[in-house]
Amino acid sequence: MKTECGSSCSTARFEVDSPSTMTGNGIALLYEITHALERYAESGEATAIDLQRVPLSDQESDWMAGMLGKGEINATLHSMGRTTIEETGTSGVWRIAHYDESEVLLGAFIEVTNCPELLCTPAEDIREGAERLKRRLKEISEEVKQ
Amino acid sequence: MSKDDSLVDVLQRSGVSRRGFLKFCALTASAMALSPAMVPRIAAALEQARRPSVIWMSFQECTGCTESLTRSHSATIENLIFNAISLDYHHTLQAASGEAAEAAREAAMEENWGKYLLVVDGSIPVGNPGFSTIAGISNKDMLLETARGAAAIVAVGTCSAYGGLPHAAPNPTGAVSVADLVTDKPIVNVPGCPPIPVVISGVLTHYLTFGEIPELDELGRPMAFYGQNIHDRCYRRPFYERGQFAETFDDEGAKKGWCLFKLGCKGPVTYNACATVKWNQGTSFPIESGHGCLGCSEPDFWDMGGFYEALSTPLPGFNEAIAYGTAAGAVAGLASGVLASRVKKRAKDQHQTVSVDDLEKGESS
Amino acid sequence: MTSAEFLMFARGPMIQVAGFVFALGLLVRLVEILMLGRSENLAEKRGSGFQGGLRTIISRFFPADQNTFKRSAVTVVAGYVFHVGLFFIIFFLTPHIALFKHLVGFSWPALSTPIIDFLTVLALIAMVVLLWRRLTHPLLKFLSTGEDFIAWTVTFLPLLTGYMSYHHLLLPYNWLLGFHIASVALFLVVFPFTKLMHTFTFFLARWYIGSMAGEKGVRQ
Repeated sequence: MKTECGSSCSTARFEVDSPSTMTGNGIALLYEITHALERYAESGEATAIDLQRVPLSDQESDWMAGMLGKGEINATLHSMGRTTIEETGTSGVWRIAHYDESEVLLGAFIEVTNCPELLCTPAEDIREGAERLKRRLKEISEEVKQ
Repeated sequence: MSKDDSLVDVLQRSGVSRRGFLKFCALTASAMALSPAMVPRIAAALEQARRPSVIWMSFQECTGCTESLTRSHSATIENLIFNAISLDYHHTLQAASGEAAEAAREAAMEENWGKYLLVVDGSIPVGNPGFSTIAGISNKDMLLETARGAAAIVAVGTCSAYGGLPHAAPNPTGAVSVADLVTDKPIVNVPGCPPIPVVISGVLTHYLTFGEIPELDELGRPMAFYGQNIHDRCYRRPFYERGQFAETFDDEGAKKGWCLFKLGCKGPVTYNACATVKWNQGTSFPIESGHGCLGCSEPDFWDMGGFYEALSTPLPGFNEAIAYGTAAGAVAGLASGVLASRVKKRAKDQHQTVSVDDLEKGESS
Repeated sequence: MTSAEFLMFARGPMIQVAGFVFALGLLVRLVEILMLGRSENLAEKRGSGFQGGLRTIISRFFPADQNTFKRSAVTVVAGYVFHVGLFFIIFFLTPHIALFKHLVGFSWPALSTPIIDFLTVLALIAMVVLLWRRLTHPLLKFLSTGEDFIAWTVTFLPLLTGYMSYHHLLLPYNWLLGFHIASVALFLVVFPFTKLMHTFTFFLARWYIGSMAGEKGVRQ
């Protein structure tokens, strides 16, 4: 798990040789994503990858982000803290990051799908929404009658 | 809060939406080190999950494990999990003490007999019951009594899992692990000194979600968190391969972040999630801070031959064995040599010279 | 017994007992040999025995003549590969150096692990070749005794288990490291009582032969 690290944590660090730039996990992950895209195109089977399970160096994360590019959609969910849902420049590859109320990154995922489930409205919510609106309209019409 | 509430009820009361629940499930899967593909199953299981009663017992321990857990960083998720369990007894955390606390424990045990989860931190002294008591009851008696009605036991920390520090030679209190005393209940060992907070909560979440204990390794640890070797997952591994090692804690190699094997790192024989999950909100783990792994999630890590001795060195006593062997061998060799030269000398002394004439004389007679 | 307990046992009592037996046996045999001495050379010395001894110890590290090589090229090549490999593996792998430092108090630079790894593969292959030759060559087969096979086995096992530990083959690392140490313990116990003693006695043998020749004024 990685924390978002702003200017606040500019503590002195040794200049270390960074073998982690060569973990090789970044490139492996990109291949995995490619296969997931092909699978989705063929069978419509979506894939989710927990980035916490794949140790990446900071340089590698940046490099991967560059490889995937920047996409058109960027959404934020507000429930139990913020969650950002954005499509990368590689269509069908979404990056989802969950934060808690104090903006600590709790988990990050890559989803390969046409639309992440978190963006779709749950069916129960739609039913409830319809009922709520119906109720509201009824209230208004009663107010008008009065 | 009613005991019959499911986790979903708890979430809904906290104003969590359905999308929020999905987020919670994704993070729960991550916390349990399960694949995101498991999220629908987790969601289904959580909708069914009831609030389990949890009894937490602390024996010969330092409260480090409880500290680790209560300082766990992802406040939202862990809080939800802890709101979702009914922590009926934890004598360090609960307000009540003495008889009132024991009454709460007994009430929880009676009410949930056969169903509650028992969490234990600290080892149990069997040398003398008086070494550690709670409300006048010896640790051993209290464990055995509480374990009888438990559905499962989670041994949190190396002390309760393997005896830990109190068990270190010469083990003055006769400290033993939970598994040494309780053999007829499913036990999950969550070792570490302390264990990683998200690992503790991950194991509790697993039990909460699925109502059963996760898959374990030969030492009773959940495979999901303890299945991987620190050395294999270490970002300093390439230095090991290249033969670049820090020789001291302040040399050039140490500053460059080279491998700490020679400084006693026990990473190669340690199984834990430190190298991937890390500590303090994912900031780092001991090796990243420049100190070798102590192997704290392994049995007898305290007696592994010195924290700063390389893993390939033998335990104390080897050099002495060689020295005694050499001395004894030299003495025995000398004795044997003296004996041999005596034999040689005697043979020489007894040697009789024979001339050709003597032989001819012998033949003719 | 769990893998952790086994590893602790191997690093503790097992290797201690083995180390004791090894040191004891080694010293008894060396002191015995040295105290036995050589019979006095009554002939007039025509050269330096010291120089001759030293020269022979060193010169015999290298193949002496084309004939030997031609007759048993396999034994010569595989023998060199295995012995040289073993030397570097034992004395230039970082974990091994840490062990010697623990024992003698000082250390020396190590070779990088991939080089040692390569040498181990070569040594393993060479040992298998030598065993195969011993089993197929009529003369070698005739001369071989049980001791030869024991010596081969106890030398082969540490190499194999060491290689397996490094590559995490088949078993968890704890078991493999435990087996590696156990195999070394077996090697140490067997060492003083078998032909493995040649590791030390070849110095003496070469010295004696060389100094005798030197005193007779033999020039090489």
